[in-house]
Amino acid sequence: MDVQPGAFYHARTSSGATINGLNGNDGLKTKFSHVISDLVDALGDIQKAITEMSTKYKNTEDLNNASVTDLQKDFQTVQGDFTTLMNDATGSSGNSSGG
Amino acid sequence: MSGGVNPRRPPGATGDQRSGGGGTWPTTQRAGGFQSGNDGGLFGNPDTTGSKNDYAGWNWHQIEAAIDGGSMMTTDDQRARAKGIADPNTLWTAGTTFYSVQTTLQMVGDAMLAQAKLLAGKDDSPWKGAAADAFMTMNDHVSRATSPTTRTSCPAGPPANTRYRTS
Repeated sequence: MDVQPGAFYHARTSSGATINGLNGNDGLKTKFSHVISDLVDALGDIQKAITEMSTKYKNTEDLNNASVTDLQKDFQTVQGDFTTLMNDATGSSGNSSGG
Repeated sequence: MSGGVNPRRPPGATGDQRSGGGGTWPTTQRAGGFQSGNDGGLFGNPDTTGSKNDYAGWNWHQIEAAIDGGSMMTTDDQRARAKGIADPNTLWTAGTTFYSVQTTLQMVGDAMLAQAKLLAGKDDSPWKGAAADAFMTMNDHVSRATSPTTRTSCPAGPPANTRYRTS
């Protein structure tokens, strides 16, 4: 998906830069690509964490006795994934997904 | 037209453009980031950002080339080149694509939160306790992260005015 907004200043700096980026490697398009890549990582890590929890906690009683610290350990990677996702979505720090 | 004058050719152009002889538009036409085609036509240059001051010195050929991508085009190749510079439908496609991404992200966030509530967020949910509360907090955070409508940076959707839509 590339936007061809025309060849005048306001087209390039509004539509073109907003969607494609001034050099074609920035803007909403790249931002969304990073966010989706981050989301794939996060959902994969959630699935992995839940699978590990299902092995770790045999029944609901075990699960109810889990502490917040236990949960934080189980989902530590996931929390990092979503921090990266939020950063990539808002542009508040450098992208780490390499997409 | 049988005469020797090409009505689409501006005064001062050089070379035989009608026969594809590599004619170029005069410097005054190409100024401001415009490009001349090998076989005629004047095109906007998508590789330069330009400035707000560009408009002041343009003639109507250049204005047409800037907005439509090309001016004084006579062949399908020229029109194809212009479409690669200015094509309103690409804005429509971008809008619908971003909207599709937005709704998908929203759906993922909503589904995750709904599943989490069933597991740990309701009075009759099987998982209770401090970890369950923390799990709900985390899922609320996740849901917000995947819901573009909760952020201000991702307003997606096609243009409200659909007159450019051709497909």
